[in-house]
Formats: sequence, C-alpha cells, structure tokens
Amino acid sequence: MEPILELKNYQAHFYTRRGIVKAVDGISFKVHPGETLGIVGESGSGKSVTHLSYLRLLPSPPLRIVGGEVRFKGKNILTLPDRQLRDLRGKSIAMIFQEPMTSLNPYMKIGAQLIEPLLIHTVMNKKDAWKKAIAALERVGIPNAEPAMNRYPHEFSGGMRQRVMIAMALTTDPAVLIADEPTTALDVTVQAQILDLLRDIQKDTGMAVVLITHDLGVVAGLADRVVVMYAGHVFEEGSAEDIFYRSAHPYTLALLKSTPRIDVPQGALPVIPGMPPDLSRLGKGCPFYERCGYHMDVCVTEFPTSHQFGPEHESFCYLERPPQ
Amino acid sequence: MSSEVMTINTTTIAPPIQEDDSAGVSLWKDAYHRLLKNKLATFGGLFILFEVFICIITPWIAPYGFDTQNLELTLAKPSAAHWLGTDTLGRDLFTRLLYGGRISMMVGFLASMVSVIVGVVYGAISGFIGGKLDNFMMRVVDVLFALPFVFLVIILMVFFGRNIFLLFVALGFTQWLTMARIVRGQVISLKEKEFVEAARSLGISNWGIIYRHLIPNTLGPVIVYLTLTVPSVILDEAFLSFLGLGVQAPMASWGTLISNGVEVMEIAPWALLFPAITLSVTLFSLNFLGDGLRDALDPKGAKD
Amino acid sequence: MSTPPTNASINPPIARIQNLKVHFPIRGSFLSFGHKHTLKAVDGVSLDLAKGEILGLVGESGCGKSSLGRAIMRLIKITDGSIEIAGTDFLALEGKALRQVRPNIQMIFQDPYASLNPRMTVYDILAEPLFTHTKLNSDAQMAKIKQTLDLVGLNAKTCKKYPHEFSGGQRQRIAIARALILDPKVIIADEPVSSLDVSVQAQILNLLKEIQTRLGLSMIFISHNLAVVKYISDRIAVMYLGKIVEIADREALYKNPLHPYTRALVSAVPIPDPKLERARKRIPVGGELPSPLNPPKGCAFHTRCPLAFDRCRTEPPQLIAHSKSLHRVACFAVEENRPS
Repeated sequence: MEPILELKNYQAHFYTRRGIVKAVDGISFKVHPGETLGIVGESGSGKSVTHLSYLRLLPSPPLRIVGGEVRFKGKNILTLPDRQLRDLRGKSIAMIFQEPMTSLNPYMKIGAQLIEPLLIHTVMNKKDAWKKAIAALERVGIPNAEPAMNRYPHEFSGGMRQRVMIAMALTTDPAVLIADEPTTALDVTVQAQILDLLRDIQKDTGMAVVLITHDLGVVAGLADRVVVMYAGHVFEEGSAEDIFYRSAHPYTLALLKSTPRIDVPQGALPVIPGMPPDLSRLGKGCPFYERCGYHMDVCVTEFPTSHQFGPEHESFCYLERPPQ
Repeated sequence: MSSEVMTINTTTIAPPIQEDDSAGVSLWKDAYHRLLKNKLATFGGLFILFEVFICIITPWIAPYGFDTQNLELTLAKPSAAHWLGTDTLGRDLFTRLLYGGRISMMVGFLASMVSVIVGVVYGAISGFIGGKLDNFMMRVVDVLFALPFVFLVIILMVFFGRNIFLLFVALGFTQWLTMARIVRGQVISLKEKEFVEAARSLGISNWGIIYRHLIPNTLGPVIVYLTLTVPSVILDEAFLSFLGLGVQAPMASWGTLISNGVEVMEIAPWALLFPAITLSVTLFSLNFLGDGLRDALDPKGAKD
Repeated sequence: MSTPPTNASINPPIARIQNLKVHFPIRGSFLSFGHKHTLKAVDGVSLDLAKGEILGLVGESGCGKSSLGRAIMRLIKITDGSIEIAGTDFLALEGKALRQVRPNIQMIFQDPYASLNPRMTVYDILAEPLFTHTKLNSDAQMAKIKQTLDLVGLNAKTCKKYPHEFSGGQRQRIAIARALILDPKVIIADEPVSSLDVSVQAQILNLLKEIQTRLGLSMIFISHNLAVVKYISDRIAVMYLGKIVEIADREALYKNPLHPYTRALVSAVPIPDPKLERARKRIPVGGELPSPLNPPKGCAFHTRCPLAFDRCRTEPPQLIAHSKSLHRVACFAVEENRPS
C-alpha cells in the first residue's frame, strides 16, 4: 500500500547564536492510509518539530529545512510554493495541539472558528459550513451543539475544548490528522474519553492519524505502528507489538522498563542514567551513547545503520541481537 | 558483549554539569555579555563613563574659574583662549560647561538614587504586605501623582528657600512614584512564585524574603528604569533652571547655560549650541544604555 | 464530628490532620449585590500520616490535592480544622514561633524552574535555611551542605553555580536537597516528577524512595499520575472535589478499588502493553466535573456515578472502613453492598 505520508532522510536544523541545533537529523518513516502511527519521544527528540517544520509552522529563520523529502500522496511537499502548502495544510493535513486554550482564539466564538477552515479551503457557503460544523460538534460529543456554536472557548472545560479542536480538524475531511500530545494536558479520565473518540472517528473516516506523545500507555492503546525518536533521530520503527514485546533498541527497552505501571508490582525501577543531550553539541555517532549500557566504540564514530528484525521492524543500533 | 542496561538506582549520581570548577555564570554576568554585544548601548555607557570621569577631574582641567569674569571679552567667538567662547559676562563657556555638567550630572544621579531607594522600599513593602495597607499606600501614590511637578517645586522653594539640596529632594520626590508602582507590580507577581513559597516554608523571615528573594529579582526593571530616570531628572533640572527656579547664579548647570544661551542666540549662537548639544548627547547615551540594559536583563532572552 | 478510626499501626502518626477545610471566598460581581460564592478547595479532610510512611494523594484537576498540600504547609489560609505535626499543634503558632517550627515539615515543588531563586547560587540556596535556623559556623555549614548534596547525588562543584545552569532533573535534586537540609520529619512532595522527562522521572523517584528509607522520613506524595503514585506510595488516598473518597494500602487500592470514581480512574490509566490495553474494559465516567463553586448536594460524585441512588443525592457519605480492614471508602453503594 502506498503510504499517504512519507519522510525520507528529513533534516531540519535551527541556526541560533549558540550554534546549530540539529532538531531533526535524518529521519525516515511512513504513514499508511487508515492507520495510526504513534511517535514516541521525550522532550528534545524532535517529534513535534518534525511536523511543525514541514508544515511551515515554525519561523524560518532560525529554522532551516536542510535536507530530505516529505512526500504527501507521493508528492514532495517541501518544494511546494507557500500558497499551495497552505492549501494542503488545514485541508488535507490537519493538526491538533496540546493546549486547547492557546490553540483556540479566545476572542472568537467557536462557531466562527469552526467554519473558518471550510470557508477558506472549500467552496461552501456560510450556511452549509455552519451546518457541517454543527454536525462535527455532535460527532465529537459536544452536547447541545447548536447553541454551543455561539460560545467562547473559555466557557468550555479542557476536555471539551480539545473536542472542539478535533471537530475543527475534521470538518475538511483531512487525509491525515497529526495529533501533537493531544491529551497530555488533560486529566486521565478525560484523556481516556478523547482517545476513545479518536479511535472511533478514525474507524469511521479511515483517515490516518499520527499520534505524537511521550506516554507509552497512550501509544499502546491506539497505535498500529510506532516510531521511537531520540535527539532528532529515529531509533526504532515497527508494529505496536514489535516495539512493546520485541524491542530491538536499548533506548526503547530502557524506556519501557523505567516507566511505572499500575498493573504489575514493580520492585526497584530501573533507571536511565544521565540526561538528554544538548542538541547543539551532537557528534556524528549515536546520541544515546553516553547513557546506553550496551555502548561500543563504534557507536561514537557514526550513527548506526538500520537492522531489520522483522518484516516491518527495524532498529538503528549496532547490536546484532535485541537486548534483554 | 552486553552489560547491564541500566543502573538499578541507588542515588544515581546526577549527570556531570557542562562547565567544570569555574564559578557559575550568574544572570548578571550573562546580561553584561549581552549588553556588550549591543553597540549603541555600549557606546552610550562608555560615553557616560567618560563624562563622569571628566566631571571628576574638572577642577584640574578647567582653564578658568567658573565665575571669572572678563568684561573686555563678552560674547566672544570660540578661539584658542576660549574654546567655546564666552558669555555675556565674559566667563569662559568651556569652563562653565564643565562645571555645569558637574551640577547637572550630580543632580541627575543623586536625585535618581533617592527616587530608587524610596520607591523600591515603598513599593516592596506595599506589594509584599498587600491587602488594605497596599491599597492605602497606592492611593497615596495616586494622589501625589496628580500633583503638578512645577507647582510642587515652587511650593517647596517658597517654604524652604532655594538651595541645591532642596533641588535633589524635589526632583527625586517626583520620580519615586513610578518606581514604587513598578516595584510593587514586580513584587506582587514574584510573591506567588514557587521559590518565594519555598522561602516561606523554610521559615525565612519576611524581611529575609524581601531582601534576598524579592528585591534581587526586581533589580532588573529597577536598573533599567533608573537609567531612564536620570535623563528625565537632568531634563527636569534644566527646565527648572531655564525658568529660573533651579541653581542660583553664578553657579551654572546645563539648564542655566541653555537659558542664558537662548537670550543671546541671535548674536552668539555658540553659547546655546554647545550646552544644548552636550545635554542632548548625554540624554541619548543614557537612553541607549537604558534600552540596552532592558534587553540584556530580559530573562526571556537569557541563556535558559 | 467524631474522629474517624485511625491507621492504628505500631507507629503513632507523625502528622494528624483533622477535618481540614480550605474555602476561598469569591466575591460576586458588583451587580449581584455582594452575593458571595465559596470555592471549597478542601472540604473536610482528615488524614493520619504514620512515621516512615509514604502516603500518596491522587486526584484529577480541581480535586484539591495541591491545595491540601499547601494548606498543610500553611502556605495558604485554612478555614477550619486542625493540623498536628510531631505532637505540636501546627495551627496554633504564628509569626516567629511558627517559623521556628517550620523545619519539621518541608515541601518539594512541582516546577524545578520556578522553585529555585535564579539570583542565588546553589550554596546560597542551601545555606539560607542553615543560617536562619542554626548557629553553625561557615565551616560546619559547608560540611552540612556537602553532605546533603551527596545525599541527592550531586557533588560539591555545584555550589558556585546558578540554577539556570542545570537541567530539570538536576534542579529538582537541588530542590530536594533544600528540603532535606534542615532534617525535617515530614516532606510534602507536590507533583515532584510531573515536569520532568520520562527518562529522568525514574531517577528522581528512586532518589526519593531511597532518601525516605535512609532518613526515615514520612512523606505525602501528591500526583495526578496513578502509576507513579503506585510505585512510590505505601498507602494511597483518592480525592474528588475537596474530599477524600477512598484510602487504602497500595495493593488493595489497585487490585480492589471500591469507590466508583476510583474504579473509573484506575481503568482509565493507560498501560504500556498493547494487548492488555486494547482488551481492557473501560469504566466510563459520564458528564463533566461539576464546578467547585457549586458542588452537588449529597455525594459530590453522584452526578456522574453509575451507581447513584436516592441517598447519594441528599446525604454526603463518610469515610468508613470496609469490612473491618483499613480500606476506607466514602460511598453508600459500597456501604450497603449494592450490586454494581
């Protein structure tokens, strides 16, 4: 199946006073139509910057897209003129963010905000757009959708606002929804509701979802395939089961083992020593080198090539066999 | 060759800090470096330092006394003997500019110091204690703010006579109000910060909190405002002197020099030109410095 | 109100909180003729903290757990109730007397970037409590500071540096050192790892656990993250809209949650295991969190509870021991053994 979104050796750097911050440094992965791809990483991994950068949502300078390709439906969108990219963005590739309070304009009623993408990207008139927006609100579970259109964002709770954001993203029937930490700021019961909603909607519409998060539990519940990122690189890519049950990368394994779980009693929690690296001071080798219990001399010299561990499962590490 | 992936804890030693044994780079040092990168601000700062230096050595470099009259040579053009010419009483304008500068700078800095000290203490107490006291103290400020400046100075002059000390007080008095408001605003927002809560939970006394936690963190805006107050005060003094309410003849300040210069500007423009230019350049320098300091001390731009 | 049965263990409680209330008056708008609302952030909480125990406090936003932590620290005003720490009536003290007793109970804050004074070096930060409360000379102070830094895994080189020169995890260690330097008996940790990266969280959690064991500290660990709380706590209390709805030993709470809210909460926590996670049956919580300005009458949870019946709507339930164990629940459905 042709991937709907594909990144090949994508590089995006920030050119700052302190040096070049290699936020994204040569990553490749695919998103297939109708699937949920989970992108897992900590702060500084580049998981958000990746998508914000190719959608041209970051100021450029200091950002510069240095290399690689980003293909949407086969076409490289990095070379598109701004106008065409903007048409794509919001219509075919929609994005929702972590903080619904700052993503919604506090001075505009949500009705106006919901119809905006429709009016810009389609030829719908205001009346039809209004109807479609109400339908979208109902779809995401906002009670009393019609009067809700005339309310302001601050009149809704955090969970409700996030639903409004999802509704806004859905109105244009996008092919891909990029959800950047959509539930991180929400309570756990609300998070569960929103994740269920996303799963539901995805089944209905068949759109692809890129779910960016640091929470392994969230990924386990929703993702078909998973990409693990660290310091601007992809460390491992595979199906959810590959990543969780057959992790081939020491970082993935370390992350899994050091996350507290509520279902199993845990003795002492294993720990990843050290801290994430300074992205302006990375060498050529593996950025996880200092913290990795399996490190070898070769790891410092050059970033590891990929090893296949299964039909879809690859890992970027010099280890021949998966760590225990 | 595989080794244990992870340490099963026990006070995992924290990762090494980037720098080594050197003393830390405080936010002040960082600000200083950033300030130096700002050319205008650095120029402004250097110029002010230069002026201050000249003011200090004035008694040794002034070619004449500031009130030495030479009635043979009134309103003379600039020449070798009198670099900037002479005034209506034949006094050397260069000398008067130097001594005038001393007065103006001294008034400017001292009055500003007064305003800072009074304003910071007043604002810190008001903001920290809050509640009814804060309300009352701020209403006092509001009322005082409404008083017209010149009017106030005239009243003070009438009651206490004219002397230079009074000038300091009058000028400083008008500036502390804004300083108090700024500091109070800062303190109120700092009060809620977690490091202040931490200080309270450690049992630090109120005074300790104000002195070690609140004031150092308000110094940024205070310093910036200070460097912008000085030119304001110098200008106020010039204005007062221009009106005849400032320093008494035969003492000079830039204001009196300008005032005198205006009277003869058609026949001896240099008498107005030089003090006016000097005053303007000084004010520019202080403003550049103030702007530069504000940018340098802005925590959002800091190394974080 | 009679004192609820205590955790009658061998250790007498090092801290005893009874019927604590923190109510914030909210003035109505000018046109509502001064009609006041009250935000009942903490509405009658009673807790015993045993010596050497870690008590976890969980709840979602608006439950009052942070307000409770700050109230116990007396950083915010308390409307009613009593707090006893190491035998002293904490609420009866004011001014200097209060400050002298503060070393007994210390707090670790959530945001390592905001909880350290950016203008003070690490040495200053750690020396301040020492010269405020002790008469140690500067050599003795330095020794104590070094010892405390060692305890949190930092070396003496950090002394001359400023907070902004450290990472989040390191700053949190400094904050922990500050909390420990006066040898407190009780520590209140308010979301101490929530602002940290996942790979650093485990470090700090283990550090806290180890320090607690080594020094015999008693701790209240506040967090919204149930997995983290489970890892570190001995006993756990669940809060909802200012009240404790359930309190039990760690294993008991997660294996057999009794209160409908706790059950919904536990079922909502995602598990990093795809097969398990997808096979789980979620216990849904309907509706929205009611406004704390206008909490429901009777049981605060009844508007969203699948088991609610008449009594729930009129009477507020009390925390009662369930079948003679130390597991206490505030729920009529559980009390009356109604089928779920």
